[in-house]
Amino acid sequence: MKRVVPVIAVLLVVLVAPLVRAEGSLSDAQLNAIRTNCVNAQINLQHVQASDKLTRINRGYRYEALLKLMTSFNSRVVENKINAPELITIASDYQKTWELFRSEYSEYDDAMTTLIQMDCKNEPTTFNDRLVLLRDKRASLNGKVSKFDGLLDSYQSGVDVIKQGVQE
Amino acid sequence: MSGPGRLITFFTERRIVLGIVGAVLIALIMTVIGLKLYDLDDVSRLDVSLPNREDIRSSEGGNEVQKFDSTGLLDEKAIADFQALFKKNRTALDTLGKFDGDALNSDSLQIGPNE
Repeated sequence: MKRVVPVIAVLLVVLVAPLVRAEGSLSDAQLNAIRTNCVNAQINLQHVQASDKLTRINRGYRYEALLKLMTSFNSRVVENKINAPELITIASDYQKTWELFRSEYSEYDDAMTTLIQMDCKNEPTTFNDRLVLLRDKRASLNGKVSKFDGLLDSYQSGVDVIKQGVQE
Repeated sequence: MSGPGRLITFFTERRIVLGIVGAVLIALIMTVIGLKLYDLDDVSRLDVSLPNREDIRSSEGGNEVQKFDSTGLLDEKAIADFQALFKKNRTALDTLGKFDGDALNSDSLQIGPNE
């Protein structure tokens, strides 16, 4: 019995803490603002979702095209016996980032759909919590875009080095 | 005639109809499985051919074929060709959204200050 009580106490703290934090994080004025405006916010979110879908499709098309280009270039580098292992590594990282980007976008889009469809007037706190999580997911996608940029910059530099070698 | 005998006669006399019904059922089951797989994958959410996605279809980026052979000599010209294709795609990427945070901030959504 003595052992069970602390375990139950810890479990209660773990289960209730997020709820306490969520309730405590919003003032009455903020909750009222969400209740009053959240339906309009959901309409805005629908526009954001449509725009994001377009961004995802077009970015996906370009990312895949670049991946194919890098794969073909790497094959030719190997065929021509040019030593450039960094290009293989960059392409591999790029492939992993692409897979992560795809799965993270799917999660983000699902979270967006849930937020758009929920009853926000009666559940403003849940709406806010889900919005905070959605922002985190979007920030992660933004991070992936930056990572792609960095990898493409590195690849471009690697190609420049090979070009210099070929010219000499 | 006995029970099993009647059953065999029933199926024998209607085997064409039963065969058609069976084929239709199998086709339906396979269609449902296919649609479920399509829905589970992220293909469905990106399918621009769906009826309510005319806007996306009309503004979708180019579908031009960009090929760079994976075999052949890697000389100055080949590298220049590669760089041109690479740059073209990167320039196109620069014109697209980056999932920055502005679209979801509380001011944009008009629900009070940011958390």
